[in-house]
Amino acid sequence: MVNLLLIEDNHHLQRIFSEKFRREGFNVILADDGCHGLQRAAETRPEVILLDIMMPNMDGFEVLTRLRADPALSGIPAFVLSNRASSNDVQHAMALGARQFFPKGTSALEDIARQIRTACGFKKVLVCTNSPTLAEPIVSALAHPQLLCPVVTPLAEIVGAAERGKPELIVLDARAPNASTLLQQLKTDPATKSVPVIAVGNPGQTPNRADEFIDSARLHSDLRPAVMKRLGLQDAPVPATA
Amino acid sequence: MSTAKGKSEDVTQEQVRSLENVNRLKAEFLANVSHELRTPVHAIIGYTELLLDTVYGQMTDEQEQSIRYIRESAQDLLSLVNNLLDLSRIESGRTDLILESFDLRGLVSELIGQLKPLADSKRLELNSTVLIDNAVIRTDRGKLKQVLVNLVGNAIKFTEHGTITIAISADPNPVPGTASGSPRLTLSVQDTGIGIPADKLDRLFEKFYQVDSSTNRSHEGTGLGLYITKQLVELLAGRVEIKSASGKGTTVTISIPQNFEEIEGIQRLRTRLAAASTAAPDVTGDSQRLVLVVSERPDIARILAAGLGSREYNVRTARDGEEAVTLAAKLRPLVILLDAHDSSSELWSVFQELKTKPETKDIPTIFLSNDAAHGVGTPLTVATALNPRDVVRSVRAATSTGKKNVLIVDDEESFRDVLKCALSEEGYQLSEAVTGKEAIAKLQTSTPDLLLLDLKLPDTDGWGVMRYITQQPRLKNMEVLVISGIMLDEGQSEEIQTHDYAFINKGDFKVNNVRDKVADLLEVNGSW
Repeated sequence: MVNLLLIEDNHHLQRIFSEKFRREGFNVILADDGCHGLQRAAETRPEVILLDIMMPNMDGFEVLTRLRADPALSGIPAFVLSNRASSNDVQHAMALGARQFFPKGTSALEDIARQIRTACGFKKVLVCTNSPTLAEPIVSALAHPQLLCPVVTPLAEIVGAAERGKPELIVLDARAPNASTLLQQLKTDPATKSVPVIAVGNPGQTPNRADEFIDSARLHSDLRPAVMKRLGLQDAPVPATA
Repeated sequence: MSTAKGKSEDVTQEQVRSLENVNRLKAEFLANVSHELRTPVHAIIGYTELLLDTVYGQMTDEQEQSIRYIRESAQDLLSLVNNLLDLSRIESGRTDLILESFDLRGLVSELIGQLKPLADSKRLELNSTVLIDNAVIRTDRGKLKQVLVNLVGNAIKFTEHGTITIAISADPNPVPGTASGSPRLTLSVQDTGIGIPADKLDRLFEKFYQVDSSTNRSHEGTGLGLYITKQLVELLAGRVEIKSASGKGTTVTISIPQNFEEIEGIQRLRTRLAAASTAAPDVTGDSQRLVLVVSERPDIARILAAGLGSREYNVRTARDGEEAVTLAAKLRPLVILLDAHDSSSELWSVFQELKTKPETKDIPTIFLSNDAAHGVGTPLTVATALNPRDVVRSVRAATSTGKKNVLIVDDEESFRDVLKCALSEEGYQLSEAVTGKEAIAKLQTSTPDLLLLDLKLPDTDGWGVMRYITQQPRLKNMEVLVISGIMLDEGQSEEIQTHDYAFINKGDFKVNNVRDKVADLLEVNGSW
């Protein structure tokens, strides 16, 4: 799970951004202004910070300065998403250690999420099942600070989601009746056919186009190492709270 | 005579400063207003997107179509706000250039990627042709992109069938009056749209002009796009041309220097002219107020020349190290500003050469960085290149070395005179205040190196002044010497000690004593 701290004073934008980033697989933590943001950063140690510049109490430049000055927080990549995007503002933010500056409203939030993903080396694994309840054990088995695991339900949505979302990997519930047909589509669509697919199901249900098959009974022990290996990630222990 | 003249210059300088202030406030105001205006529009667009993403469930076709209309209108509103902001920025001269080298082909394909959905929605072809081998250019990428987005966006808007072509080629016509050696590139945007009647072509780049201004016009817009485009192209030292025939399509061609810095010859001339014309007539005729700016970035040199020139300095620019050293030795400027944006090794050799030559070694040198924070922790004076106010502050600080500022606060005139007499021989810059309130007012606008403070004062007493000082981080490094006739109780002496202030009892007062103490304090606190 990748925790993203969003520091934004406008509640509407908070809601919109957090919904969009949640759909990209981020776990979004909210803060209402710079002061609150710093406090939340210290409490939650997020994997990444996305912040506005013009905010009450403490502006984004000050937040960047203080993040950089705090050894415990200086390593967290910080990205700016702001209306104030004159060349001076951009240079200023970059000089204060911002990784990238996104002017609000010029790129789709999905693109911003993708750029953050690339810059931080996060990997996106689409988890596709017919219901959120079925997705839950898969997502918790994949809890990792570099893994984004957005859930796509129902399974029929998978082709569109994979085309738009450009994941590094797909984990698909092969127990669904339409799983084979959808897998077929994924593997013939030029936009998605190179994305590896791991199917989770009961023995004997192995769909023939899957790159790898995991027995759902052995989900907890087998899925995680398989995903880590395919993505070239170092494993970190599963948090006890999962 | 001379005093009358001096007075009128004071007035003019005062007016210039207050106008600058108004301009700064206007710019600040615009930055804030833009934020306020855009935020709700972003919220509208954002919610429409969530709805269209079916985050809140499926909608009927009519509902979906209505949401799309809301989104389109909000996007139009956003671009209108953005246009108005660009306009005000350009007109207030607050647009600065960020030069970088890049391949135009990359920019064009980025542009096509961005505008293709729009062209697709009208079933128009959008393509590009590159007619030169070397399309690497050095200019402001963001501004050039904005120009192209405007032009291609317009082309799509006014074309119903056919093709829009972006072409890159070499400009075959060198500009009259410029060095023949500076090549230019042309970028043209050609469409097969409705075209523009010949009699309207001339007015096309006027602000708010619209070819079809009838109330039921079919093409919405503010009439700002082309005006802004032209202003931006001119900022990039380019020119723009338009050819069109009604019903046959339009071609807009811009021509810009392949390397913005090669036109620096012209820029430098302009800078000098600007500096010469904006600087107040040099009454004393000496070079005491001359600032030498060493920068290879013409935009920085221009910003600084404008910023310093409109204050109390004359500005000369040197583009390279050699010129810098020659000019410094010849003109003996008050201070030298070295642009350290790329931390090149040349910069250090220039610095070393300046510091070894007898004619230049004593001239204070300030490093300019894009970010003053870069200089933190180094024993060098660093100012933020893009902030003329910061630069002026550093120049003032650097040039006042040797003349420490001392503020004398005492309500007894005779005692102030004694102090002034004792300290004036030492070459300090003295100022005085009679009451605590007056002292605080002075401290609000200046930062003396040393404060001589009496405790018993009318209105606010010395303790009140100290409280003010401790609240001001800016005054943290100011030395304070408390001179008082009253005996201090234990709490009071402790308070003075906690702040690390020096104390002299008026009863023990000796001129030499004060003089030594002051010298001592300012020596210890001697800054680089």
